[in-house]
Amino acid sequence: MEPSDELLVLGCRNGDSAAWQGLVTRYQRLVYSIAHRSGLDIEQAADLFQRVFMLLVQHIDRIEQPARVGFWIATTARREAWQIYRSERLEVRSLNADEEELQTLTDSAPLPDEVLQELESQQSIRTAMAMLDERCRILLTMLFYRADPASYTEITLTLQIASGSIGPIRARCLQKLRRLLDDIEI
Amino acid sequence: MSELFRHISFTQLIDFYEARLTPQEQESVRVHLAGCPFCQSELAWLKRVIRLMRSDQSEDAPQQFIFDAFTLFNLRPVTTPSRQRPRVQAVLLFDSARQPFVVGIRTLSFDVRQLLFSAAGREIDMRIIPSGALWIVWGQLLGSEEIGTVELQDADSSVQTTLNTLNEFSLPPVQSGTYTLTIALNDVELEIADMQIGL
Repeated sequence: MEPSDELLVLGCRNGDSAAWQGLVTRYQRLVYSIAHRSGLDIEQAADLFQRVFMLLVQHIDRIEQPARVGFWIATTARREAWQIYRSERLEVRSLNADEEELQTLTDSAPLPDEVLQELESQQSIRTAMAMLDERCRILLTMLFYRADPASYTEITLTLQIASGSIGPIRARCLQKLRRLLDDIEI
Repeated sequence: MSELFRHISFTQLIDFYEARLTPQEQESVRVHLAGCPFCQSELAWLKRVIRLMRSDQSEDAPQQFIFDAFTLFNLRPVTTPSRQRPRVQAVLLFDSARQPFVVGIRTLSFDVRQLLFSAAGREIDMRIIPSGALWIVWGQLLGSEEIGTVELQDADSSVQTTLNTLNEFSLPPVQSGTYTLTIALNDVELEIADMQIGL
C-alpha cells in the first residue's frame, strides 16, 4: 500500500531519498498537467518541473500541513507557470517594446481556478486509487479510466470473478475509494 | 422502516447512474431519489467522482523530467545552511534610470528600467517592468549554470522564485517600495539592499 503524503513529507525531512522519489512520482502528472493546461511548451514545462520540485525540496521542512503537500504543489506550479508564461511574453515584447504593448500585459493567470481544482481532484483520486488493493484498482481502472470502458466479459476474464459479482465488488471498491478520499481531504 | 424510506443500495445507485437497471427499476429509483436527500447526495458523489475519472486526460511527464527532479534531493544535504553561507553585497554597475536620454539610440521602453550589478565574481542583469499598478522584477545571473533561489523582501512581505536553467528568474508582481533582493546560491548569498522599485 502506498504511503500517505504526510509520511512521504516526513520521510523527506529525515533525508529519505525514496520518500522524495515517491513524492515526485506521485505528483509528476499533476505538475505536467498544469504545465500543459497553462499552454507551456516542452522547454517551459521542463523549466516549470525543475522550479516546482526545487522549491519543494527547499521548503519541505517548512510546509505546515504535510498532508496537504498536494495543494502546495498545485498552487506553486500554477504560480510558477504564470511566471514563465509572463516572462516569456515580456522577453519577446521587450526586444521591440513600446509602452502601449507593455501596458497590455495583464495579471490574469493562464490557468483558471476551476481547472486547477479539477486537476487537483483528479490527482487526489489517482492517489487514492494507488492506495487501493490490486483487484479494486484494476476493476475501477477498467471501468472508469479507459476511453472505451471494459465489458463485463473482459472484466470476468481479467479478474477471474463471476459476472454477477462485478456489481457488488465495484460498489465495495468505490466505497473504499471514498474512504481514502475522505482521508486525503478531496 | 417502510419501503419508501429504505435507502437505495450503493450498488443499485451505480447501476442507476450507468443505466443498467430495467426501465421499471430506473423509474422506482428516480421516484425514491426525488424525496430522499441522502440518496441524492450519494448519487451526486458518484457522479462527481466518475466524471473526474473519465475526464482525466493527464499523462506522465517525460522520464528525463522525473529523473532530474529525483536528483534535486541530492542537493539538499550538500547545500550549505543559509546562516553559514557568506552574504555578499552587490555593487551597482549600471542603472538606466540614471542615464541621460540619448537621441537616436535604440533603448528598451522608457518604463523598463535596466540595472546591472556585480557580486562575488558574478554579474546580475535585471529589469524592472511595469505591469498595471505593480512591478515585475526579472533578472539573469550571467555566467555558468547555477542552482538557487531568489527572494524579494520588504518590511511586510516577500516573494520567491528559483533560477531556471538559463539562470533567469522572474518574480511575482510587487507594489512600489524599497526591497532587498537575495539570490541564494549553493556557496554564497548575493544581496542587493535598498532597491527602489517604482519610486
